[in-house]
Amino acid sequence: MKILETLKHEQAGEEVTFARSSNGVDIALCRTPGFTTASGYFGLRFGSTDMRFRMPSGEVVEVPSGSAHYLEHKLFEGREDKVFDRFGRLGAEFNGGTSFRTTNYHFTTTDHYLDCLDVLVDFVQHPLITEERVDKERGIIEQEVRMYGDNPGFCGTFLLHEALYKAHGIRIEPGGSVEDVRRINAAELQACFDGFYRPRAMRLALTGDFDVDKVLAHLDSRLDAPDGPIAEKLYPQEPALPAEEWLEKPFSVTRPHVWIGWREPTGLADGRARLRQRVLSSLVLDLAFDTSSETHERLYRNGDIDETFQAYWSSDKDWGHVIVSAICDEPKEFVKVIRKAAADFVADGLNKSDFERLKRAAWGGLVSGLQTPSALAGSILNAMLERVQPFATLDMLGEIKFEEVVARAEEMFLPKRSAVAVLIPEAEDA
Amino acid sequence: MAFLQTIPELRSPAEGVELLCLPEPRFKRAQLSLSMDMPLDSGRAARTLLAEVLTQGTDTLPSRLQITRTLQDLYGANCSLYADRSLESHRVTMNLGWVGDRFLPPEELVQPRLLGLARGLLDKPRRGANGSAYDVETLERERSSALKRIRERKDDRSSYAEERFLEQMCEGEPYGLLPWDSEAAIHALTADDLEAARLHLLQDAKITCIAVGPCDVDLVETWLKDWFGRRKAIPAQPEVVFRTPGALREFREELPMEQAQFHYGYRFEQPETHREHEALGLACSILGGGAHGRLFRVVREEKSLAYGIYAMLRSQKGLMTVSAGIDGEAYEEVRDEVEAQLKDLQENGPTEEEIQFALVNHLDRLRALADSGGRLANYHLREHWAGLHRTPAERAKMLQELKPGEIAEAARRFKADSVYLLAPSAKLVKV
Repeated sequence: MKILETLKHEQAGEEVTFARSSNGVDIALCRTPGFTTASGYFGLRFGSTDMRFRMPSGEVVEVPSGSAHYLEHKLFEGREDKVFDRFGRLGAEFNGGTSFRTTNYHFTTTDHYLDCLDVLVDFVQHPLITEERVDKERGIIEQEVRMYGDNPGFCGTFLLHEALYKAHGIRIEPGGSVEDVRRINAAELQACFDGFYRPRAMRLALTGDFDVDKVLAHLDSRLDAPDGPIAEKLYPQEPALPAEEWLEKPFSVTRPHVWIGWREPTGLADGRARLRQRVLSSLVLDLAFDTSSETHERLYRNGDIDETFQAYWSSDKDWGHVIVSAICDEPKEFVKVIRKAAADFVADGLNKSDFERLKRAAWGGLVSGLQTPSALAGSILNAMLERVQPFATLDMLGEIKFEEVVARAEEMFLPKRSAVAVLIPEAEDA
Repeated sequence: MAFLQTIPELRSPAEGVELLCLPEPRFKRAQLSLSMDMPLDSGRAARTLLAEVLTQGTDTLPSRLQITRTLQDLYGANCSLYADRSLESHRVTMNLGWVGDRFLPPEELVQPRLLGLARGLLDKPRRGANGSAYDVETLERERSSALKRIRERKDDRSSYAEERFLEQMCEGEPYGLLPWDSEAAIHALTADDLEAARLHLLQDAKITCIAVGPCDVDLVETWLKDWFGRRKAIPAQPEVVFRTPGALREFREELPMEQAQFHYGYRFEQPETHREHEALGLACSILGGGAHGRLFRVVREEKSLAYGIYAMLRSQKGLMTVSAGIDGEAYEEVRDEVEAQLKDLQENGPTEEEIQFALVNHLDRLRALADSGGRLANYHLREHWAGLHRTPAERAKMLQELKPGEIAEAARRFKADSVYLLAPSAKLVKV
């Protein structure tokens, strides 16, 4: 185990120690004196969109949608003893999550911290994946996927992804389709594990009122999975413009639910550059459509939008888009009004005092968000997986200039990069 | 951990107003919650719409835009106001939050400015033209939004199923009433009705305020004194209605959907001692309190019938409910399994392992309260409203003393009342 460096972050009021285990896992530890709970977050950059990859042996593997999420479920089964039982005996809260590009496993506890840490690093490093075990989980995962099938917000977002992208993996929800869940097998999940769950790819974020040296010494012998090369991710070629201008789907909703997207043409940069892009984009969206904007106020007073209106930015290394959504009566009219509002916002020019106020509010929200040891550990793991320093967003907010936001606004709402998805009410029998 | 061994300091700054103080400098954000309780009478439609209208502007900040900008200036402070049913009261809640002083420049005075803004929302609303209590355009817009929300609530199948389940199981009790009353009641409201509701609320509501985190509680007390100091005695709140179940009732409704929503409701008589309260909690936890619960292990892990299945105690109403998202075809199997697992717990009691699992889980959650302002506030408000006033440490000690027989005895209190299924109709929507 080797301590690499220490980061003392005044604005966040936190100090983080970075280390690397003998087998190559990067670890960040943040002491939280006076706090009762302690957390561990273990994760890697492997997610639902990683469905095709070249193994270190050269073999190209294709797995069904939902494989990363299925694998997450299987890891929780443990080897001899279920992870539910192991954490349960210790009284810890635990969970996992699979996103488009990452998977993470975490616990929070008030006691037996090192024992919980043992469970975490053990079950993530040493799974037992057999056909019988994979089959057993199928019904549970199918129910989880179906649960989202009744959620218009969830389904509409993925309909928009289908409109925005022609081949990208984010067209499919992280849980996969029911059909794919029904056919995933043990060999495919084992290939995912062997290709990506390597120590050099794993990141571990730990928070609590602990002794850093003691925790590191404890971990060294337990981070014992053999290191090795990681599989190469193979992504389909994605055209620079949306796949469809307008997609509609009948759904059991009372009024139409509408999503408008504006996408980036090509892949975004990595690390800090991508974070900067995200912060800039979020600031532009707040300036344009937050409840503090003139545009929002005007649209709200006119009855063009109501409290269901939302706008947000989503991105990773090879996608980035704005999503504006709302429930409305006339989708075509709504889309026309919002697109014009976006164009007018850019043409009319941005206001510097609005920009300063929004930065201040964003800063307050970020500091407050780093409250509990669990939130802190989650934030630090995210930063490690994004390849940026923890709390880098706070630093970036201070650095960003008004002119950068103006420039970003000018490239965000181009009509040729926009697409629409609508869930249309269908008649109900009941 | 001193925090777990004390209950919040209680102050009474005005008639019918109680302030629970939990100052704590460790937290980065301060939180203040003001709960104003009224009976679930016909005034609930007016209070529901009132909360929406009041957040649209005050006399000094006459638009939502200006309110939001002021909050952003206060380093991203938050201030929300909404109405909902809580137990058998209609509650108007104001939630405030702000970044603690240690992160702010020394000259910044966020807390007093935020308290001023918050009071303004309820006390100094933006008035309409020509002596109207509220701006007509704003009132009509918010009325229209409220009506749409009511009509669209079934779009969220999970919440809608829970609402319909409680509405039918508790028909004839305030617990089964909808917080906004009805579309007709919302339609009929005038600006004067809203103003009468506002004045009635400020004068007669039972008010409970809790302040947690890096905040100046003396300032909060002064704020409440100034605001409510001239209130007269408030009317007593109505008693909660308890009912003994008869034969099991089964309700089934259908909507186009992918996954059926299952709810099973049990009733229990109010326990007389703290110890019996704890035994009920542990019995519920052993049945379905999480991944350690019987239902999770059998219905999800062994039979793969649900992604999640959980039991929950609604202590002050005397209800224990079990909820799950399931395949509609598996309804009878899930229902029978819930009944079988509870019957076994009632007749044979929990195993030693089950007690240990549930116990460590409960103890961990109680200790974890110390790290979250929101959880602490919720815990102490619940204890305060239930009149129990137990510290987390007292509860932990009592939990550890419980015997298996007491847990089985508690489980025997659960009497089946209603099962509800919101099932997919024949016309499935494929997405």
